[in-house]
Amino acid sequence: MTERTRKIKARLRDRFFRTKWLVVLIVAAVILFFGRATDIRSLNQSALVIGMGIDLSEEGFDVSTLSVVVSGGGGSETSRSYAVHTATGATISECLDEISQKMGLIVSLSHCNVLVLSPETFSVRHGDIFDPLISVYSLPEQAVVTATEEEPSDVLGAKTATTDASAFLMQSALLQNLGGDGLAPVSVKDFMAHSLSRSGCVNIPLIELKDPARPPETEQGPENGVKELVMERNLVVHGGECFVLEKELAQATTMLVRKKVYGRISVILDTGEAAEFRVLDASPETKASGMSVHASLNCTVSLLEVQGGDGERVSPTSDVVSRAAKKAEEELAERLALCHEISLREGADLLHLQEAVYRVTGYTLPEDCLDDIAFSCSVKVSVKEEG
Amino acid sequence: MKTDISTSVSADILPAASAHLGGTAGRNTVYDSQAACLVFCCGIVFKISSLPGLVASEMLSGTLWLYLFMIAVDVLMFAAVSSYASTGADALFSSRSPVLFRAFSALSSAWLLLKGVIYFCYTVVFLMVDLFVAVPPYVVVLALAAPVLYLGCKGVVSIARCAELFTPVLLLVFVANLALLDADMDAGRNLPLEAMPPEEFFKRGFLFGMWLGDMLPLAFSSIKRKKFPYLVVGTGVSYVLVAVVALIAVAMYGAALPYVYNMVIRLSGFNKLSLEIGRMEWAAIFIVIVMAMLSLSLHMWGAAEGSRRAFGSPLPARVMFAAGMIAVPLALPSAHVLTEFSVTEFGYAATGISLLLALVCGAEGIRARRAHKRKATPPQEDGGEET
Repeated sequence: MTERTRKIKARLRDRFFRTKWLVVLIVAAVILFFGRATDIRSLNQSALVIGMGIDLSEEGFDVSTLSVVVSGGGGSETSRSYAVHTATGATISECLDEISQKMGLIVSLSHCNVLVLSPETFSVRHGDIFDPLISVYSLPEQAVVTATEEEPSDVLGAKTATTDASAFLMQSALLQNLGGDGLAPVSVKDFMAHSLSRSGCVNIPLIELKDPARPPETEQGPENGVKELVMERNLVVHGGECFVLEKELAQATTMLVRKKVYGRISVILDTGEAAEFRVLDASPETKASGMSVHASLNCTVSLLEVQGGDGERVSPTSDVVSRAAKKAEEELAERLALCHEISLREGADLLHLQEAVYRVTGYTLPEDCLDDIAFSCSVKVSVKEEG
Repeated sequence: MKTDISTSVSADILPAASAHLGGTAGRNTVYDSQAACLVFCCGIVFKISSLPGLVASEMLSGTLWLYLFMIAVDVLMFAAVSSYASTGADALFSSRSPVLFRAFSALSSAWLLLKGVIYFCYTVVFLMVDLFVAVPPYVVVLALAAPVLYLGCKGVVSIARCAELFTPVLLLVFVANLALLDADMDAGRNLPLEAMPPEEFFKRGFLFGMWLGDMLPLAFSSIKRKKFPYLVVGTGVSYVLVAVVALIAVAMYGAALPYVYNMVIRLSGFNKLSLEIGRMEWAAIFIVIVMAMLSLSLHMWGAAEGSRRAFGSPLPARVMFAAGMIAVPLALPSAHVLTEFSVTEFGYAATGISLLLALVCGAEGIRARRAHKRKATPPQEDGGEET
């Protein structure tokens, strides 16, 4: 190798290695040019799914999507409309592909915040439902899982008095705790975490469709076809089986097994007064010792109103409020005991007792030992001055 | 701009050793502040991204405990490697026992090459699942391989400078992700400690030996100490982050953790800002890609340096690393094949090799330290000869 060749080689090598910014540029190029950052299709070509329903029938999965279709108008105008599409197939992916074909748009689940599932759907292994949706269709793990005994497509397509898209209502009702008392939203992540836990049981909000007592009035007269979405009860999913938990029991269970629970507690005293409290905080603590579990629930509430009192100004320290709080404690404890009975009857660990014992006992705990676990509970309701 | 770092270590290199080292000792010198950045960027990325899900599938609620055990082992291994690097043990080892030195270098080179290719497949899998949509695999492989090859050839000083450049940004984004994390968590999911009998814990735990000793390539560098103990602080911060991620991963997902392919991405998905400015996964994608590239580059450089010491030229390792990176993910029917292979019985071999290499580093580090001490001590009258 001549001196000249060596110099040229050295110069080329130096030039190649000279700037570290080349590396930065390459990294930026990888992210920008090949990633999702630039893989944004025109909104006109995408069906942005904001709610998804899944049902299971003999023909396979019935998948429904509630999507926002954005179409460009003249000038700066764009119009939005909501459409429900349904497809049947052996797999959820097949259904979504069929919906894409029907719509002529590419289905995107990355903005889907609500899932409405029929009880039959839970007979399928839960991971097989959610894992492909998350890893292939980019379903956010924060999406709320709900259930309905109606057709999921009916719930998604329901027109309410306040919005054309029921998914928005469900999402805001659950996330802002405007649904039933003490019902907590269950995200896809939390559903899977509870479903695969030692207890293997998860409570999710149950959505019911009801006709309003009076249809809302508009300028054109009464608006017909409007529905009310009621979310007061829970569907308890354990393994492939489900059952419905009524409103008060759902509230008590949710307070014990979830931390962020709000809502109201209504009490009617034996003396006739009615008191209403708003739940500010519920702090459950479950202590296991051997094969017995003691659950203590500390509820902090604020007083909303008392009806039927003696006419004196009511404060949190009033006698009627103290009695109402005591009554609330008794009722919550009774409901928890009732939940335990139901849990044993249905073979569903809805109070997560096996999980509590497992955390103390470890691998020596036998499978399905719910019947062998003793349960006791205590409830404390503290009334705070808060508006 | 070139930085000329002269060290006491390079001055100690014996003439005989210089031939084995190819005159690279001075070129491969990094400050301990840079080494600390390397630990953060290269030493933890694969432990916090794909590993939590894999560990959880085997270890159940013992995931955090295995992580703590692995962290302790990894820190000891890194202490051995950094002792080897900072005492100039490389030169002394090569002059004292050239055959053993060559065997050690060849084994290190082969091991880093294999690990690098497997890690590369992990990165490709993650990119194909989480970032690239409908892009042929060869595009992903080539886009990823280019910066890795560039940095791997350029050397540890450039990798260290890049790490220095990116560390503040990556750390800031990472800490911001943790600070803004908004997800239901239950730290109790890390219990019980005894999710399985102790022998089963270790039997399953050692399957993950491939993730041990990620900082082995630093053995081929020289570390120049500064006054402030950057390396100790950097290592501490990095491994605390690993433990925190493992704790949060189990607290968030519990038994659903095996469904998580990349924990860093999922962590950023549950972000308080998501409701305001949309999905935040991009922040984590940036973290993982940059860290993975730097780590792969360091592995490539380590393999090349091992080859230089064993066979006199870095070229074989560079060619094989490049060929492995490009050919293996494309030739295999699925990159998952290799990633699944890494948690079979191969994991035990990986544990053994990693521990063996770290032990050699540790022993040679101690020997070199003693030699330096003897050198520093004035010769005694009875004429103690230097080794």
